[in-house]
Amino acid sequence: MVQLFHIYKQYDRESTALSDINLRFEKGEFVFVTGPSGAGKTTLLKLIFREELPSRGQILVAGRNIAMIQLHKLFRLRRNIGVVFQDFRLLKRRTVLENIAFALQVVGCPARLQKQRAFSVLKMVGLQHKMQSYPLQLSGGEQQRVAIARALVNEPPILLADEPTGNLDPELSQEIMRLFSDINAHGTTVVVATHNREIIRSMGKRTVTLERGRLVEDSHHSTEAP
Amino acid sequence: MISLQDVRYSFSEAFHSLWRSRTRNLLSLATISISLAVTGVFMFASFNARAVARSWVRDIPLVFFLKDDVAEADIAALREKLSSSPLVEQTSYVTPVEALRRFKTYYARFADLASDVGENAFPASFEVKLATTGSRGAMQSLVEDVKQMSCVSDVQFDEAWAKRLDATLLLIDLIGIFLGGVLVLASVFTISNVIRLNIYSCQEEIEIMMLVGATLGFIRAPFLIEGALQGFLGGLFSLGLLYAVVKAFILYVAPIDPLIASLVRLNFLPLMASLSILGGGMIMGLIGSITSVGKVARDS
Ligand SMILES: Nc1ncnc2c1ncn2[C@@H]1O[C@H](COP(=O)(O)OP(=O)(O)O)[C@@H](O)[C@H]1O
Ligand SMILES: [Mg+2]
Repeated sequence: MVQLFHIYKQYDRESTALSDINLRFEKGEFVFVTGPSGAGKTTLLKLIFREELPSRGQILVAGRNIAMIQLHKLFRLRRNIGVVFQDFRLLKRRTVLENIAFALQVVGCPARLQKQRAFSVLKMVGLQHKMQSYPLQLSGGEQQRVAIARALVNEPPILLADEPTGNLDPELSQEIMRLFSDINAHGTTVVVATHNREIIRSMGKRTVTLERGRLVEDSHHSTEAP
Repeated sequence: MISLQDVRYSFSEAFHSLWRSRTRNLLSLATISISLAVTGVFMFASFNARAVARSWVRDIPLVFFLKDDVAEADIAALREKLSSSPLVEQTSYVTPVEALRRFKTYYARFADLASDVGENAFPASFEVKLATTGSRGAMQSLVEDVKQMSCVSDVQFDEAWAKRLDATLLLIDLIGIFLGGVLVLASVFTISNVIRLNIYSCQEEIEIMMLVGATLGFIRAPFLIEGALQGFLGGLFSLGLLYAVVKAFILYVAPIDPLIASLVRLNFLPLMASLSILGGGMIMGLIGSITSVGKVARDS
């Protein structure tokens, strides 16, 4: 589903965010990307949904070289990838429900269905009582759950989540992980960037470890490959 | 591909954005209104001057003198040609006898002179009163046309005067087009910049929209509509402004001097001209925003 070939990313001349990354995420796989802060986890996710372009190397998503996608066709890639951003990226002028419904609106979902589905996803993250609030009236954890709901509402083939439990207490974190497992069970490829060892351990999924921009460990290969 | 829902969304966003950045938008609205109003003043002046000119042209004497001994049939043919032309309001045939009589009444001192040269001193003629409709070019070609007829010996038509009138009308138009053009360009430039600022102020939102899979068209449409709305509203305001100016002129300036009063023939712009100001405003707004929505596509 997602392939990275010799990916390098440099934001500026001095430092290298990612260095010679080769990875392959299969369709329907659940993968953790971990590593200390500044290791390049966020950068890796940003490259996959083309918020950033790699300095070198190629990325294929669903067999497509995403560097070749023209700007006016980029929306097709984005519609196939649900993203939970580390900084949430909610629309401040819209309510919680509208934020989620908006992701449906842009793909042309009829208005009545938008609210229904937005509401049911909001219920899954346990925030239905906040649907009329505005993002800035919510706590960090609540905003995070809205971001999660928005990423899920379109049932995308790929879900990228950047520190989705960074602002949540352990109990809620487990619940969100269960949610991710559910949609993963329905065929969605899930990639979660986190430095939360607890969660990784409890889930027992493939784990890719980055350190200073280098891939230092891939549990998938260490356990399944000779 | 574009659903009613999207259209409703775009308009609602456009109105919201108009209101949200109202201070800025008021600036471009004022620029458009004033530019179009100034253009409108010249359009009014031009249309009005044309109306005045037409009524003056009507008073220019146009007389076709006939040769001697012209057959009745030729006279009838000429009369038919003149009276069937839409440019002609009225024709009257003046016999040599009538011409002589007029000469005697108008120039009584020379009455003897007329008697001396005899009955046929004056040629027969057709006096034509031109209609107020019809262009100068058409009138010119009618005159040329009739002049070619074998029975016509000469024509009296004050072309120099008509040409001067034409030149004056052209001058009014040129000044209007130049000034209007400059102001319209300035307005388009202003709209373009205001829309650009509106886009920049939404940059974060636009990025989020792109990240959740909105098409560029979906993101741009509200800004295009906003520009067109600004232009349309500017057109509307300018018509109001123009109306006030014209009314004030008619009420307070025209009565000062009967000459000025005689020069004001219209109450307001013709309907088509008013509509073209509205449409022009909208097109200006669209051009202004089209030149700016490219900024939406800043690669993120
Ligand atoms: N937009 C940016 N501009 C410059 N440097 C950046 C930018 N984003 C990330 N970096 C740098 O790239 C490296 C990796 O960052 P990041 O991918 O955010 O790591 P992580 O998500 O693992 O904490 C860090 O050294 C960070 O300072
Ligand atoms: Mg990060």
